Amino acid sequence: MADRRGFTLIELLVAIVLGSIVTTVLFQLIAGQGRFVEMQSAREEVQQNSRAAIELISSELRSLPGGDALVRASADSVTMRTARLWGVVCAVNSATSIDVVVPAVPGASLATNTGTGIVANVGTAAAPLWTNAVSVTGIGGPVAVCGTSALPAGAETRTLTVASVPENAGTAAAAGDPVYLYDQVTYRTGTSSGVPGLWIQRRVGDVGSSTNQPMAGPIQDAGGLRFEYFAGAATAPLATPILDAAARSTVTRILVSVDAVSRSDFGGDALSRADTVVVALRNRL
Amino acid sequence: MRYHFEKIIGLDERGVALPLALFGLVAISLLVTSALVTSSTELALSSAHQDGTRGLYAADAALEGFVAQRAAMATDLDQRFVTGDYAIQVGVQGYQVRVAELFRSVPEQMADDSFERREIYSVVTQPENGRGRSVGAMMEVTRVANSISLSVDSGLTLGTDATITGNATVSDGSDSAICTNEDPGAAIRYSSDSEVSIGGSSNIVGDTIQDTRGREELMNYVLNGHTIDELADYAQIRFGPTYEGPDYPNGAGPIHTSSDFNLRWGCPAHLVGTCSAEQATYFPTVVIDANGTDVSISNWHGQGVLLVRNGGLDISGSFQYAGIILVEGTLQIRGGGGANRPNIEGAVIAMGDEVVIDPGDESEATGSSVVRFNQCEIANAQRGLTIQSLDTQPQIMDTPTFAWFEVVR
Repeated sequence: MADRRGFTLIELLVAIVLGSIVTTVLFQLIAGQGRFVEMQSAREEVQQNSRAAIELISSELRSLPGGDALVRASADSVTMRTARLWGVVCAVNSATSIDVVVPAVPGASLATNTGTGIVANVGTAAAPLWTNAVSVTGIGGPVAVCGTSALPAGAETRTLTVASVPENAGTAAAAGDPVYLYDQVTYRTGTSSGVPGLWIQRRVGDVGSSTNQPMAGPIQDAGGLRFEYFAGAATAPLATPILDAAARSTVTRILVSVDAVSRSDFGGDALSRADTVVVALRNRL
Repeated sequence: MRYHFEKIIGLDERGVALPLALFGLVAISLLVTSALVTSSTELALSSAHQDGTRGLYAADAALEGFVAQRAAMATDLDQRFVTGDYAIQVGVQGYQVRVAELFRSVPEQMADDSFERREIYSVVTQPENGRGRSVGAMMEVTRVANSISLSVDSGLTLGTDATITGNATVSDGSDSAICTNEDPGAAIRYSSDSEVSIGGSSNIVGDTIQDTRGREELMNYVLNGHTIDELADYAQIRFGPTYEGPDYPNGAGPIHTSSDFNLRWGCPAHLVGTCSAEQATYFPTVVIDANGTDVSISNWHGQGVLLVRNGGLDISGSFQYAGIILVEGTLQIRGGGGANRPNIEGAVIAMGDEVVIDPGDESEATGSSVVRFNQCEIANAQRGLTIQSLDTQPQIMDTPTFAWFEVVR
């Protein structure tokens, strides 16, 4: 006959205790996993932020021309005249209008580049001078002729509306002079209203004519955005800030370092992630 | 009682295996999941970064590789950079290279009378599959053409028998103030193996000189080290099958206002009067393959160099020309009366079978064709020829690429 006695109290208590222990362990594991996923997500965000910032800064630094294109160079900020478009003067129509032949690149957009400056490398394809850069207030649509001559495939003429005819050392731009459109861009560390922490800020235009826009962050309070400037094959960076324009024109490599932090706080420690790249200034090598 | 106690304290472990296995499985699953999340996140991040960086370097390598390929070509190559699309491989990725001529300068005359021209090209590389990064740069090349000079010192240079009748004028230029010839020339120079018959009321101003050289030698002397083929290569206006152009429209005359590029031969201002500035300074070289027949040009005007090959040339009406006319076959210049007569300032070189200027018949009484030695027009024609020869000169890459840029889409 079967033994139909129930569990004793002790048996139940032991079973309950063991079950509680197993459940707690399982709960801890699952909760830990959740925190891990959250931490991983924050870490990803930090990495994305720092890499995106570095990518944009690097991209604009890479095509920096020679001459006075590096306007200000310090350890925690940089101001540069970053190239938007290169071309060749087709004709100077008037004091406020220049036809420029440019490469026709499918998908490339010039719509956002009005208000930029323009520089003509009068008579040389080498480093531009900046004595008479002028602002561009309008960029016309593509035209397939330069004057009366048809342009080959891959080239198009754009009519630029300018404040005045650009000059270099007193010589006005003329047909055949290489020109380039640029934006003056600044990268720096700063705070913005309504955005917690320090951020990498980007400003297009000069001080007073534009505002600093938060671009990526938050970054570390100290050294969150760092620049080091190298001339030629030198292994030691130039002392910053580089106040002398001639010294800035010798810079051929710039080290960019971003140390971003996560907005999530884990145990009182914000995640930090640093990325560093050395950007070779392609037009100065 | 003993039985239950043994079960509780584990003496009998038969029922614990499943819970323990499940527990271990859950724990391992969580650990593996954590590892997967970590590694997949890292992989996604680094892959995106790596792809972007690799794409940039590959596009840059494609551009540099293309330019290096061009630089490695033969030094005398005149087609190093030509507008068009090219393909280049970087690793497993194919790239399209688009070359476009952005600018060519007005040829500049150097102190030694050579001409130099700058050309600027853009070179843009982009992945053939349309994905990835694109970069571009500009390239400047120069071409230098040494001055081309022919040894022409007379209005009419003949390597064949010639008849000059009617009221035709063949002059050494001394009867005209249009150009002061620096070197005294002759009205007619003809080869030792040919004869010149001058009759009617024709007017020969200046010397008629029989050269000591025969036809071939005289021709070589006139060409001054060049060949007719070479001069024809420089021509920018070409007629006939040899030059893969249209047949010359016989009976028509070129005019600087023509809508047909092939019939705009410049405009000799002092002969025509009203010319556009562009056409007044345009001295094209025209080559016509007569294809075994005679080419007939009547009326209107032109300037530069006119080469007629593989056939003859028949000029009539009021055709006004400034420069050099060279005919391999028979040459006829038939004048009408008054202003209705051909007028050639510069030089005519005929090396064919026969030359007749102002032949008989009705034109004999009134024919008044003019062929006048004019060093100024010869110089203009030679300058035009030199400039046109720039197209066949090597493209010299004496500067590196510049204006490197990333394409922002």
